[in-house]
Amino acid sequence: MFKSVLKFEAKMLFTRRNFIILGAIFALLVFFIWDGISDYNSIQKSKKPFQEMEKDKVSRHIHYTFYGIRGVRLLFIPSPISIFFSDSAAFDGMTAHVDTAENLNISNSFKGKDLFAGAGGYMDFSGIMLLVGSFLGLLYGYDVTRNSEYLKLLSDISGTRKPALMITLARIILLNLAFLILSGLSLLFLLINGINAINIFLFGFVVMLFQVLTSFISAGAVVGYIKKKRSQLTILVVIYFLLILFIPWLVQKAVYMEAKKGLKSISEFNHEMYKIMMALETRSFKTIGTWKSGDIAPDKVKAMVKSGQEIEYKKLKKNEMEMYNGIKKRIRAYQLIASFFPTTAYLSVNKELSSKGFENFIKFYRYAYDMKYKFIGFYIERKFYRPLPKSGVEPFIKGNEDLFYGQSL
Amino acid sequence: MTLFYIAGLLFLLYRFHPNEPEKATKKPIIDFKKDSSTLFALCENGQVKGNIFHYYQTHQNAVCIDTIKMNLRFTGIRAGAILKYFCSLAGVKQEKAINHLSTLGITDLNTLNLSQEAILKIYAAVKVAADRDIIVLNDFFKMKSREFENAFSFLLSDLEQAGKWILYLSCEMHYPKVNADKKIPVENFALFPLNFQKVTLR
Repeated sequence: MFKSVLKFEAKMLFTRRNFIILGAIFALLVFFIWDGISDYNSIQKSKKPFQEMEKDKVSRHIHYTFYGIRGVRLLFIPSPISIFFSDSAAFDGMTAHVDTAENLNISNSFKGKDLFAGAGGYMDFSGIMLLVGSFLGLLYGYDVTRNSEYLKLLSDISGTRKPALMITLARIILLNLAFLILSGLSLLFLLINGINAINIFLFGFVVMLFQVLTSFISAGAVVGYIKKKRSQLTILVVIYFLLILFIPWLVQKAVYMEAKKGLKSISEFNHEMYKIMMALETRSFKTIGTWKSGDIAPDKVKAMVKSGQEIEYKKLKKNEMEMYNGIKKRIRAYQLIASFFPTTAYLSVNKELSSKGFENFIKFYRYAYDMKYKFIGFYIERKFYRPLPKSGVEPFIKGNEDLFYGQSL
Repeated sequence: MTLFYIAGLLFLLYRFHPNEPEKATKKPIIDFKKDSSTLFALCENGQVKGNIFHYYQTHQNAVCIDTIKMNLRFTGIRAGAILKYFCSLAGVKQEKAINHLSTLGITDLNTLNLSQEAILKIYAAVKVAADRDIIVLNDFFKMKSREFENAFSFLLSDLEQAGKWILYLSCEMHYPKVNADKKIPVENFALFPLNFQKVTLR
């Protein structure tokens, strides 16, 4: 019997009128994918000039002191899948700057509470799928039960007392199928444009879309049972507004407010790091005075460097890890709260799938942190333990180490 | 978490039902063989009518055609698809329902305009295609067009000739084409022989 219901509902869904509606949705999706492609391509194009500029900067250094002060920059490269999530991701692009002093900056404003400030928009493929899918799902579900006489007729013909449940299940399958086809066509559009975004993690997107569509269809079907028509429409509007706009905003806001309270501001944090660095500077000056670099450093300088590594750099590391863990904790809190609602779960998972989500931020942060302390090690080794080679400063970055490739999680 | 939410909503859908819960009803004393093969049951009130209808709904040898206040729109769907759907839901043969529909005046399903009465004809044709001995109609012609009633009078006459027993339930006495000459006492319900060609039940 369910097969018959499914077949008939498919005929009702895939009519000429509905094909036109699906076509219009696809045209809208193509527009936003096109926008995502242009963003992605501009980042891809910036890779080469970025690396060339960094190499050129290194080649112009006369000795390691300036290299250490100027530091190195790292570029975050999103995965092709980010095209689908260009507006709803946690950030657009990231660059990290690390030096041998206190600096570990990630696009300046991102490190700290401001990571949680941007709510993420809906003007991309995944956002449109959410806005349109939930709207259609709500109406499609509502249409199952709004006409009780039709249900009575089906119940009478079939002898089953549960026609609404069967129709709802059939519609869940069909709407998901329709959106799966739209997603498949969008993927095909990307392939035609020479971008292969096929990724196992797209299955995660399908699962998230499934739970959103299923929730909205079921909610719409339950609302259809309410007797007063005016109440039905009011509740439909309230459900849509709450789940699409208000709750995602509230979850984001709650985490941001907590982060504002619990995490130091970036200027406060940098000031603290600067004070630690200046303490080392003062201590070195008082102990050694000035020292001309270029040759192997004298033992008392080496001893000072070693003590700096053990005292001040340890403090810098500790502070940096505190910030890192603080951000990580807020990310976990956001992800946990987001999992309570279908739309926030969708948004949260998609952020991560986009490769421009919180998890990738954390990974990039960690990478920049590790690179910073590798760079410090490199700098100390070259500056204090070796004479300056005639060929000039040797670059710290090998190959594509200055590029960090984001991955879907 | 969302899975719980979805499961809860689907459970609510499972619990809701458009029809009132079926109540155990007593067997009404209706003897088709003794009275007539086609009977009109004038019921005292809606509850009595409902009880008789519910009784036959659970009867294995009866087909019950209910009053459906139709407000349906099947945009972009042909009548043939609806017939096929109803037949598969009811588990009856489509050919039989098509035969009944042709008696009801519907011969071309491809060009049929899906009016509310046309959908009701499809519904009734599918129901009677179940081939049971008793056919119970719950005030089915009330407020319908003359054409609709006339079409059904042919079908019901055919079914009567085929040896089926027909019971028409209503709470209103409809005017016969010839005046009644005696008072009719009604306690719970009263039975009258019925000739669809001679009375109107609209």
